[in-house]
Amino acid sequence: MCGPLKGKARKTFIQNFEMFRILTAIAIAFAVIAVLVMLSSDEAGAVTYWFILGPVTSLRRFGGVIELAVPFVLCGLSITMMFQVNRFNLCSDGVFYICMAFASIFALFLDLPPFIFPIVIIVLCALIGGAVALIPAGLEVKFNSNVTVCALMLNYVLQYLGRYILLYKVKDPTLTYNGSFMFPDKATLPVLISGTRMHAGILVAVLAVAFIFFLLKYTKLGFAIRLTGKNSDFAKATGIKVIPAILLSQFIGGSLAGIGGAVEVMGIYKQFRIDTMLGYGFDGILIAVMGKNNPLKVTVAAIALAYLRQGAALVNSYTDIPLELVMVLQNLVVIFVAAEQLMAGLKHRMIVKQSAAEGGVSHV
Amino acid sequence: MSSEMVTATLILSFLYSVIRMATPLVYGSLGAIISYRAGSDNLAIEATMTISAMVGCITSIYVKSMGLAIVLAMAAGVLLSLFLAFMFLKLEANCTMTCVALNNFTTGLAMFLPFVLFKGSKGSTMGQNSMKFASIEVPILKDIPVLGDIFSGHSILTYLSVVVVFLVWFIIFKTYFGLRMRAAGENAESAMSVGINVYKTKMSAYVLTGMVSSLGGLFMSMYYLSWFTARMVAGRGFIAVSICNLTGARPFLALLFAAVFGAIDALALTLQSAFNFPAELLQMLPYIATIIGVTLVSSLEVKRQRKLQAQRR
Repeated sequence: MCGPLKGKARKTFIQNFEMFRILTAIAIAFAVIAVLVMLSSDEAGAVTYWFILGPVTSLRRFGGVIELAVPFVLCGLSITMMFQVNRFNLCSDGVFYICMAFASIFALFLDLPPFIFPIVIIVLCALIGGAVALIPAGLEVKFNSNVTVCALMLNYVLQYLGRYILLYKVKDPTLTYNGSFMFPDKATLPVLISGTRMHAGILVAVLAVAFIFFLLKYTKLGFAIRLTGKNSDFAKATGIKVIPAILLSQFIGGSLAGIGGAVEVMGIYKQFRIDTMLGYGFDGILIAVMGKNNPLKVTVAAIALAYLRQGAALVNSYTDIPLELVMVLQNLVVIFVAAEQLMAGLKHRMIVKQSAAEGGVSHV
Repeated sequence: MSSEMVTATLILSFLYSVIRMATPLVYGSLGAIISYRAGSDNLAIEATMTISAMVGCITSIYVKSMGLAIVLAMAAGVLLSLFLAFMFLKLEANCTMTCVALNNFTTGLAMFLPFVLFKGSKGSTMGQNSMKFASIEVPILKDIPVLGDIFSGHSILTYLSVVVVFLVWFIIFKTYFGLRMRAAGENAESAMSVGINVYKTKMSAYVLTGMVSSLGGLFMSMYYLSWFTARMVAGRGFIAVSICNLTGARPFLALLFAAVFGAIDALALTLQSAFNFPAELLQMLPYIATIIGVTLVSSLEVKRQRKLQAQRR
């Protein structure tokens, strides 16, 4: 298999192995999807067209990509912060949902001047989100319980709590569907570019990326968090307070998801009406995995996923393939990217050959 | 009917539904126990149950054969389990991450396939003519007043679950395979040093996990409801993993704990139908109970470890 690559090409391959591995993972996932589409659809051509080119066929459609990228960036950053200290605290999805619910309560029952109002809601939701994320994290730190199980269970609790808030606290009884009253105008985020739904939440997302980038790279706390994630024993030995670093990173992770929920409900829906979870918190896993703990790469991954999603949504409306296919696709990507040893044998053989060619090992 | 009669029927139907709700949890937790004994928490029980629920239900729609539905559902569960094991044993993927991705993958597939096959609503086979396990009226038992009301009239899977509990216990603790599996799970290196093929042993354990937990999935789509919906397993896979943790991976104890969680589930259902209490708040109960349970057990474990350490000093 490694026959055709020689000399320089082989060297490039070894140096950029991680990238090739991820590309292979994506290729495998796409191959599976291609087979599924061909088996189940009579219009594979149309599916391919809408999936790949659909999002750039109009401004409104491309706007959809950016709109979707906002919660994706925030959730991706949220999971990134959780993973920084190796905690699979996957409550972001529940936090996102419950903060949509709380944002609707604040928007409907508080009364503040315009401009300040959405900011206050975002801050409150950030605090709530952080506090909620501390539940599984705190239980793990204090009682050593399995953080993933607790977080996933918490998601269900939050889902039912959000539904309760919707049905018993903020529901507009005149509606034929389950939805809250519309938010007052001053409690929504303004649209930035007319003709699309691109709203001021974009600015929030950009600020969040800058903040996390700065935090991780240039602050003492960020260093403590990163070191704790790499080697907590070593961190402890160097005098870093490990437990506060863990809890703070989880708090920040939770508040990012909370901000995501608030921004989404104020920017896109302007009422709380979705009574199932959107799953953006779980999309954050793919984004964080692809983003490799780097806020800038997370942004790129979020936009890429938003593009895929928008493509899938168009496929959903113009062909006979449902939107959920992309869920299959993206989770396959996660699985194969997570597979550390994927192509490791190939890499090993390449390195051996390369070093043999450079005169290092001659007996292989 | 007098009010005492009403209360009595309510209690009887509550106890009946405890057993009914416990059944999928028994199978799920047995699957989790086998994986746990082989070395790791299997958070993909949820996916295993979902995919077998789907495959079983869809097979029965197309083929109208209960036997084939069971076989294919179990095969699907085993395949998913093996895929997971291959990914984290051979390709060294992070186990938790792979499990979570597999769960979401399965949900996506479960939304996608029924829609493509039946062109109906997304992620549901409602309206299709699928098959269902029969409720069995146990002779003699069904005529005993109170006991008959509670223990008779369940599906074959419910009665079978007791047998499977025994079988799993027997396999884990009384066979050579079980011994090898526990050795490989507890300390892979020392197991290897005495000549156990750790990889093969663990893979076999995951085959068993897939077989057992897929029965729980079958129960969901072919008895609990007579159709399949994508999110019907609703976290039972995770509750099953918690039961495994709570019991320290002991099969008979898991049967008991499954009944406890079944009772919480049934309580939510009964309260909801009997009193006018917001269903949403009641539905939180099993999940809150799981969080508390997991925390309680691990905190006890931490205490025990500390005590041991103190004794050693």
